[in-house]
Amino acid sequence: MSRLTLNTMEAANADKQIVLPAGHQIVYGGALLQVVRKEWFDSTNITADGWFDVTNASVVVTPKRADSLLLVMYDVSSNPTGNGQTYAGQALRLLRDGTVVGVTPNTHESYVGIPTYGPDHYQRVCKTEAVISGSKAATNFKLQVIRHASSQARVGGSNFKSSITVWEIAQ
Amino acid sequence: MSDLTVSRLSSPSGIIEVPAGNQLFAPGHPIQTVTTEFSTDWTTTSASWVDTGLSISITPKRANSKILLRGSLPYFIANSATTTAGGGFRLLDEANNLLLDTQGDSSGPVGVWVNTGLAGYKDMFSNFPILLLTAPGVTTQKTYRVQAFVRSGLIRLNYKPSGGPWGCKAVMTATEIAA
Repeated sequence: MSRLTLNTMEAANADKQIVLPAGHQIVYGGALLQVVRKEWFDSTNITADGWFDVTNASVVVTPKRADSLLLVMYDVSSNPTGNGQTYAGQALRLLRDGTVVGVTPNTHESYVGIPTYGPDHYQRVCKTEAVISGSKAATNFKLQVIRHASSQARVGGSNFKSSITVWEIAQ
Repeated sequence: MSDLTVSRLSSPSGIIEVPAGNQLFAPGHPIQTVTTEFSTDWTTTSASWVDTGLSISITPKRANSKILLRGSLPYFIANSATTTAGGGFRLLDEANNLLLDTQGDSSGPVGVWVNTGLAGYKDMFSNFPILLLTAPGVTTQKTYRVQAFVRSGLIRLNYKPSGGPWGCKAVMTATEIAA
């Protein structure tokens, strides 16, 4: 192992770029080590009680460090519909290797209630969870959805793109 | 002071490590990230701007850095008195500089809003997203906080209705990016 002590480092080329060979990495506190992203357009429709996997809403990350911060950011097209009720609601939750991350949201997370029948509630749910990698083993993040009461839960569909993005940040 | 001029760096292990406490500043690279969570069940009916309790502090390492702020705020709005419910949120720094404003008019904000056109109880749960890139220009601590304003009914954050093992929380992250 070689140790280099210096204050500044400059590029010796016209592009002013210092290049690391593919697969190599500079690690320092706060460094962004990798970004993994999954996008999907698939539609998920739920008319039963309980938590269900959102179609294609999963991503696998293999951390480069065991003590990294993983920022899991999801941006999901959420559109519960009234299903003959005066309300429409649903919620999303994030699981890591089958275990819920953070708190389980109430089933009203995306919800509207009005004094007449048949509301729809289209919105984007943009949320972030922060977890520690814990090991360098591959880890799976996925989303599940639940309907509120007798609503119909819907995610995505048509041209409504959704995504999960994971940043691995060195500590 | 030592200067090194190179085009290509590599390591036998594939990893070049900067020791703990040392820092590498490279333009465009994140150099620190802080996160905060806020899960207090909080309600307001205030028809003026009030602090919600959600805030995040970061001390930039470099005066020319950018700060990328991201967050989501679970909110609930409700009203049974009129045809509408809601208000707005905004983001300020510790010097009360307004960084993210909300839609509205002379009667108040409508950044989070539902209008059914019908009398009777109405309510809505949703998440308010925060996404902002700012250039603080200092190396002293910056604190960014969220305020709320009610135009009709009430605003409630992190509402946890009974009847389940439910919860919700607001999360904010601040990432410093070297210039």
